[in-house]
This record gives sequence, structure tokens and C-alpha cells, in this order.
Amino acid sequence: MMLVVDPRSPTPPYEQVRSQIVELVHRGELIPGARLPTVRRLAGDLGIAPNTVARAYRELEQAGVIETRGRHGTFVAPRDETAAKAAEAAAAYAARVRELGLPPAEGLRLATAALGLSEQAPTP
Amino acid sequence: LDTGFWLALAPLALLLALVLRTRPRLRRASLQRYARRVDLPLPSKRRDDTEHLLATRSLATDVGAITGVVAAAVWTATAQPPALEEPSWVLVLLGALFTGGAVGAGVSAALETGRRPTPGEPRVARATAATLDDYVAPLELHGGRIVAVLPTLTLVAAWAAASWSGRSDATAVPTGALGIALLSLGVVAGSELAGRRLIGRPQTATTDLELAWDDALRARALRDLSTAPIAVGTYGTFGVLLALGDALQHGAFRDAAFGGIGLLLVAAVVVAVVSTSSRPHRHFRRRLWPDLAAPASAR
Repeated sequence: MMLVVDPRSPTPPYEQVRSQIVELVHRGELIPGARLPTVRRLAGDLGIAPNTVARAYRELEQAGVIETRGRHGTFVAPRDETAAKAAEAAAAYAARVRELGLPPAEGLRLATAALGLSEQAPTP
Repeated sequence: LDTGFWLALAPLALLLALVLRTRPRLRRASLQRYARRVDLPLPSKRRDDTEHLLATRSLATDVGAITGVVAAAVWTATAQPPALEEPSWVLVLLGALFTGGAVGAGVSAALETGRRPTPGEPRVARATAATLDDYVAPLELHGGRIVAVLPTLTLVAAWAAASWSGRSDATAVPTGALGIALLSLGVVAGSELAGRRLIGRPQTATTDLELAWDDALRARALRDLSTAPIAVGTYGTFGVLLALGDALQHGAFRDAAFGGIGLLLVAAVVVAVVSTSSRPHRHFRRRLWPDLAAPASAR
């Protein structure tokens, strides 16, 4: 259950932290109720600014992946099974889109159309 | 053995510690021994740093233990009126030896500056918050807390029993016993505070193995710190019971005090055997690194 931040990566550090935590939660390695390190501690461990970790935590909290319980700390949020299954399906879809070599924007357009959120129907 | 003996022994012990901890061959052997003990492969990138850190910690432990013994010897010899009668002061010396060693290790760990990372290196961190329970086995962690209040509980129980029986001579608490009880409470509070500060410090690592070694050294410092309340509490309770036994002339109270010593001795041996057999030095490994491959030589 490690987080790795590579300063040479083109992905911004906050996104590296955010996506790895999401991945760990989806894989079930970070279970609901697990306590995450404090912002300051994780920033110190990863050699990044506290604001960077705070931004990653904020986005994760908005997505319902984690929750802050006052001064008790930050925890992995209880899992909504329906949302979790949908997230797994979305992850599988994203992986298939990458395998097919489609650009992310095209993948997003197809998903949006499949959900009936745009007028253009998905290509069969 | 008087104070002069301990004072003469201290420089010799210090010299021996310096020789043992500074010779490169012995330092290397010490690291290899520790790697086997905690079941970790030897660090590949920071071996010299780790060797240096282990040697410094061990030297600090030795210096702390020697200082503790000298301070206790001077205190027992110069306190007026005599704080403790024989053989209580022997227990004080033993308690001071272990407590001093624990304090030395704790101070050394607190003063460590940690590794300076090379800019541009990837950094590795644990995704969950580690706690004291991850580094120190429950028996050592909670045992230390319980044992540290034993001298105070013993004193309170003795005082309450004496008051209840209406014996005015028995309600006078020996000065040395009171000092030990207060010291024990102070040591457990200090150990908890130092432990929490140590846990909160950042860990600089670029690989899983580096982080595992940082955890190993952190666990060692925290276990050393937990030794202080155990030592002060255990030897302190012996000391308090002996002091009470010496102070009391009445048969029933004296017998109860010495009975308590026997009971405590048996309990201490049982706990020590159970704790040792559970290999508490590998507790952090089981909690934080269950899947990290063990070195072939350590299996």
C-alpha cells in the first residue's frame, strides 16, 4: 500500500497522489475506515508541498472516496456498492478505450452518448 | 560495592562501548546481525548511513545506561537521610541501567536528522497512517503503561491498608519509595510523548526497502523507549515493596510486602518469556511489511 511520487513524471504530483489512492481503494487494498496520513506528514514523506496533498485530499473528498472526521483525521469513506460497481465498469471501459488506441476525448464522447447525455448515438 | 566502585567502572565501560561501536568491522557485523533479527534484506543504497545510525544509537544507549548507573549510585550514596536501604538500591541501579539506556536511545533517535533526499528522485510513502501499535508489540506497549503505575498503586494500597488498620507508623511513606513512584509516572508520560513525536516525523525513502529499514529503526527506537517505563515500573515496584518491608516492623504488613515481591518476580518472568517468544522485534514486520520478501539467509 505504497504511494510513489515521481517529480520527473509529466503528471502533476497532486494527480499522482489522487489517482493512486483511488486505485488502492478500488483494488480493495485501502479498506473503508483506513486512516490516511495527515496532509503535513504525507507531504513530508513524499517531498511535496502540503498544499499539493491538500488538493488531492480535497478532490478525493469531493468524489466521496475519503472523508475527514474533524481532528480525528482523514479516512477512506464507507463504500457505496452500486457506485463501486459503476466505478469498476468505468475503469474497465477506460482500459478498453486505451487498448483500442482511442483518444480519451473520443472515449468520453462515446460514454456520454451511451448514457443518453448527447444527441449523437454511439458508433456500433 | 560502594559508589566509588561504580564511578571507577564507568570510564572503563565507556571506553569499551566506544571501541565496540566505532570499529568498522564490528559495525558491519552489528548491521548484519540486526538485519537477520528483523528479517530484512540488507539495505542496498544506504548501507553506510544505516550502519552509522545503528552504531550511534547503540553508543547512545550505552552512554545512557552508564550515566543512569552513575547517577543512581551517587543518589543512593549521598541522599540524606538514606533514601533506600540495601538491597533496594541494587534494584535502583538495575532500573537506572535499563532506563538510562532507553533514554539514551530515545535522545539519539530524537536528534537524528534523517536522510537528505537527492532532488528529482521518486519518493515512496505509506498510504495509511502508522501508529504506535504498528511498531511496538501490545505486551510491551500496554505492559509498560500498566507496570509504570504499579509503584504508585503499591504505595497507595499500602498507605490505605495502614490507615484502615489504624497504624500510624505504617502510614509514613518512605521518601525513596515516593521518589520512585513519581519518577515512574514521569517516565511513562515522557516515553509516550517522545514516542508520539517520533511517529509523527516524516520518513524519507525512495524504495520499499528503504522505507522498511526506516520502519525497522523507528520500531527499535520506540521499543527502546517503551523499555523505560517497564524498567522503572518493575524495578521501582520491587524497590517500593522492599522499602515498605524495611520500614514496617509489623509482621502482617511486612509479610504482605515481601509476598508482593515474590508475586511480582513470578509475573515478571512469565511476561518476559511470553514476550520474548513472540519475537517482538519483528512486530513491525508483521504489521507493516507482511509481504516484503525476507532475505534467504534469514529464513
